[in-house]
Amino acid sequence: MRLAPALLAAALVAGGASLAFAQAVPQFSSDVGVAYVDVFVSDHERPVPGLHGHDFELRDDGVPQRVELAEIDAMPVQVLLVFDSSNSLTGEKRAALRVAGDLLLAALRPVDEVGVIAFSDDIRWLARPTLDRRAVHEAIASLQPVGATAVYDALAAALAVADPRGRTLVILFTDEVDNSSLLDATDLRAAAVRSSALVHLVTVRRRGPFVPNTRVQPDSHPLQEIAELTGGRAWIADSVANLTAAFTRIAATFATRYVLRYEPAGEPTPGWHRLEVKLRKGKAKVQARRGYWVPDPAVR
Amino acid sequence: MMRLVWVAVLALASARAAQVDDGPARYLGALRAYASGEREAAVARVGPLAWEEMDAAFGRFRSEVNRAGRCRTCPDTLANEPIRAAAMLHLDRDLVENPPHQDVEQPPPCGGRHARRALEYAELLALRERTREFARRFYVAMTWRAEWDACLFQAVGWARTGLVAFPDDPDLLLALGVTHEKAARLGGKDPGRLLREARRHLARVVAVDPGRLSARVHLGRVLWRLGQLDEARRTLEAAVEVGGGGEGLYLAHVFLGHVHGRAGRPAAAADAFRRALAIAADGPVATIGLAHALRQQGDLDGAARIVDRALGSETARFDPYRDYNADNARDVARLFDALREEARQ
Repeated sequence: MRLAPALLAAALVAGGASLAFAQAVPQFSSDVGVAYVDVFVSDHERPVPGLHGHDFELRDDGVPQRVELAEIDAMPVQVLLVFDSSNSLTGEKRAALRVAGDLLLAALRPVDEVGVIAFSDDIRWLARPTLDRRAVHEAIASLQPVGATAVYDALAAALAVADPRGRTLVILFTDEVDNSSLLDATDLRAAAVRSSALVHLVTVRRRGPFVPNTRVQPDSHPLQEIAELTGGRAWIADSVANLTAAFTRIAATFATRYVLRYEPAGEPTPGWHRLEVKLRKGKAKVQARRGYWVPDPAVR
Repeated sequence: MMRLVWVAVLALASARAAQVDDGPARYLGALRAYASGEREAAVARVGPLAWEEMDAAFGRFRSEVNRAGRCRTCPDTLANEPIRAAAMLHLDRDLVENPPHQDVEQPPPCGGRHARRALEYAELLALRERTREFARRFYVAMTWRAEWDACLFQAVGWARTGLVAFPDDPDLLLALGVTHEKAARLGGKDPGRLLREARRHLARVVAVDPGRLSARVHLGRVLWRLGQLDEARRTLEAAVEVGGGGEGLYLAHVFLGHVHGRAGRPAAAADAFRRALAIAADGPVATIGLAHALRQQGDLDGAARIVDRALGSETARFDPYRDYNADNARDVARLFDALREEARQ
């Protein structure tokens, strides 16, 4: 049975938004069959405002869907800042991260919660998701460089604690290649497809080799494909000075996103469901997650 | 007048000869000081010496060792010579000139001329029955030191040189296998070839020393990375059977969990990670692995709960996996300390 629109609205109004809302990953329970997809539209890197539901074409496993725009103001965002605090976090980078953190905080609405996870070869909450901006600011300021880099494990941890019924944005900053994780890119891809979170990766392009006898990191980051899978993207700064610019652009995307709402037809089958979102007219670029995962009850 | 000239010439020649002899004498003095326990002073004394002076003494030692090797019945003229001290002195001088970095993720020093001289002394020590075991452990320690510093070419060189003198030595084979494993992990060229090399050396350790848990754990991980999931599972299950040290067993369970997860068996993976957590409660890596397995099973809330708790833990959380990545670095200092003590005469 699907949730009637009126009932859904009632649930939202009653403060149950975080329970009834599922960004990107449709909730297929006996009560709810409504899906939400977080979308960013840009033209030459500039956000495109003023679009309506009928401007979008959305296909779920190739099947066209009837799309409406969800009321974004009623939907708080949970932002998880996942910051690399390994030994390579020099004073210059720390300073840039503090500025970037403040930029992000300023771009958020008062209803949006922010949490901070620091990782090296250890992964810790510096601040659990909170509305207290000062606590978040202080958490970022307390970053101390120590240890190796377990970026895959850190992202897996963030995806695990992301609210599965809410709209979560993960902003992952790292300036190193992973050298300490248990999990790898294949595991992270599996974790990302099972998550509703949207991941942005921010990194600084490396200038030299990490250690002798190893090759220089390639320009693209192994997590870039994973970020794009979730509807986010990789922002690769060419210098520490340009790091804040990357965060500024992420912050700019906060206010200009669209959330598409639709009711998928038919019974959901377990596994991966491909999503395609584009504009009916125009050549603007549409960023949205590439699909969603329906768990198989038999896999236990 | 002529006589005066001759006296002057003789005096000059004598002074020059004294200078030449003085070098080895100062060097030998430093070696003896080191052997008597005055390590810091000895290491400092070697710094300003010319290499020609040290080469002369080393050449003499080498000749003596070779001569002794040819004549087993001759008296041992090297019994009291500080050759072990020489190896350790040059190692310590190298540590002064190329100090190991305190931080990870920094370009490491990879040893210099003193390290190479230490290697040459180790080769002499390996030729003598009474110092062979010292030499073996010296090769092992030097290999781990280079491996820790990610000086992987040097690590392979140390291990291979050691294996010439000590074929099938499980400590050296383990260090060599782990070095290749690390090279593949750090993005060395042709990681498949490096992993196959690692597999070859680690399998040899298991054959030579079946009870060595760490070799089985590393071999299981390498097989996993080669995509040989069934082989990896069997190897890690055998490692669990071997049992032994808590940390090795923790890693065996963690890696087994990872293998099960990759093979599409999340329930078995979760079981393995729980067994690991029974050994090291709140082990961060096993927690991440368990959460990943739970999410694969669709238990998002369960995964969120355990990760949230782990991320919020106030207690210091040591995870044996970090040492796996650091690869026996903990043992290097201990090994060198033991060797320094043995170099005392």
